[in-house]
Amino acid sequence: MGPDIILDARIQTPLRDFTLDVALVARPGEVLALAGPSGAGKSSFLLAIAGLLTPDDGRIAVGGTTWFDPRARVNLAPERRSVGLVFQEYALFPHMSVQANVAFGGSGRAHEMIARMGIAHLARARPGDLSGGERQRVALARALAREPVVVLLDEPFAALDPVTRTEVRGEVAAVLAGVGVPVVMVTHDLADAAALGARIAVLEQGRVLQEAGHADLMARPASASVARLVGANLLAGTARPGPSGLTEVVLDVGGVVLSGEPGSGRVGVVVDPWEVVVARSRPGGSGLNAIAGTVRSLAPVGNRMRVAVGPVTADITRLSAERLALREGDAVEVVFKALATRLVPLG
Amino acid sequence: MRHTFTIALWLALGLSLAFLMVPVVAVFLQVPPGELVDHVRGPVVRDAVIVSLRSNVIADVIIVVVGTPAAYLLASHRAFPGRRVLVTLLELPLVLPPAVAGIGLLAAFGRSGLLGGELSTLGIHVPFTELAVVLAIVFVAGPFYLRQAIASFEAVDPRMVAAARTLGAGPGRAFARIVLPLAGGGLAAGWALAFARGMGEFGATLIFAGSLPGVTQTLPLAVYAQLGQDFGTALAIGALLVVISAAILLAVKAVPVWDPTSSSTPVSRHR
Repeated sequence: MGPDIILDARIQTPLRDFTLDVALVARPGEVLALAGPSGAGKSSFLLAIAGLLTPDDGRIAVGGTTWFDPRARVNLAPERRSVGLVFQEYALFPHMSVQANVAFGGSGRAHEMIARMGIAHLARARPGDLSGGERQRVALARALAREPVVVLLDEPFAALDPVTRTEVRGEVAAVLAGVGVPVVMVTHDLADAAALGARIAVLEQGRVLQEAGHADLMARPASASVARLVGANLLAGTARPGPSGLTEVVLDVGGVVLSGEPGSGRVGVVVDPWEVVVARSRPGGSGLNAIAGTVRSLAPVGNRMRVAVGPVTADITRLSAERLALREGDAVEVVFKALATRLVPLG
Repeated sequence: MRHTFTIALWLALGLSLAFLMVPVVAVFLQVPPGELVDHVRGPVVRDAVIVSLRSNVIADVIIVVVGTPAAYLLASHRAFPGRRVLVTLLELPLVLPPAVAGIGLLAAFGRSGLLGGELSTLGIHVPFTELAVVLAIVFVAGPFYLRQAIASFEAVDPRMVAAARTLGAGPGRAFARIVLPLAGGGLAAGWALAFARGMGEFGATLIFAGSLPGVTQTLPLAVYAQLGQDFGTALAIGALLVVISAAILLAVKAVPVWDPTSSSTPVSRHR
């Protein structure tokens, strides 16, 4: 498993209503998230990499090894590829203990993985006796125990309740960071992708609409559907108690913001773009957050103007944009209320 | 009103139970138990037990060994053309009258039958041998197993197999370690149905294999043969068949059944 093992996949295959035509590259240690509406072809792409779906055309290569290339008549069976696939509902073997599930891939690392995922006390339990979060840990341990050269996650957090989801998301991020192989995940929730620090490829109707980090997708959505999907700003930071019962978050990008929601440790400050105001100067008033930055981009989205300032994206009316005479490179302040923010724990 | 309705339901259940149980109970009560045991020890019954068990075991081995992979193929390839026709053909013997099955087997494997000439040159003579008993059982009981096995395999979540494959298992290992255990309860139920049908097989066997004591006379045929001569022995054989059938039913109920569609606890059939 060297640092040069890159997943390079191009998949072309007809699905029911459209043709999937996607070419993506994932580097070691990188998380590539496929996002988009259901039925966009995300899962088909994942299954094709695993060898569980044979595309009409394309090429899948990992490092120097070709897994699929119809022109060279190469199409390795799933068991001859090296993928760790975590299924959406986990597909744990119900008749086997946790230990047997994790050891199914036949590697001596089962014990180690079980310990690392914190499920040693469940080794003899059956999947049916586990909670959603525990099943998810077992599924990941099983997928990683074989030391795959590519990790594939299909909606890994979709089956979890919101509280467990946040908790497991953090753990998965930590475990994947230590694995150092390309990770491809399918999700319809960009918070999942953001929590894992993923580069995001937005798919619709079998095509990649845009490929970028979360902040860039926010700032410059290539289309209205990307804008809809991306949703809210997410600013990572560290929370501590602030004045008058508010929570103070020291942002990773610099600056401090206040939130009306409780939180501690690593958190993401979530604020919707339409809650953010752009101003030429810092307004007074407690409970108002202001972050200084330069205008990175201006993009009209429908009747609004989407303004990216530093790490924050604001949706303002076109009228206000004209009144402020905003141009790229201008120094401005983005302002939002402490009560307009939500805090989500990050791993 | 509701009360009357509930009473009607209970009445229907009581009637069903009484009608279904009376003949079974009568088998045991008509003759004192000690006499039943004495009859069972007789040579006629012993021979019939041996013929029945041997031919059924051989037939069931054939049914399971050939039927299991055939059913798995049909269950895992759900979209090939002609699949429905194929499944219907395999199920046809289920609705065929046993007498037709017997005459059909005779027409196929009899001396002047469809394959009779070929079999004769090979020195094989099928009708009125134990092989004929086995073939009759495979023909009438096999579809019971096939049908249940296809349903059991279809109920296994294909993602389980997919997961096994990505974990390095080839199709054979995935079948042995994942599909078979998950479908096991259903397969056992299918086998029990086939065994029960095979043990009770009468018409096709009588026509195709005859009722030669010690050779082709199975337990049901012995019941018929003893009917005019020794009613006690006929009853004793009946009692024996009831015990065997009940034992199979209990054994199959004890097999754990995994809900093959999810990672959950076994769906106990006792509940």
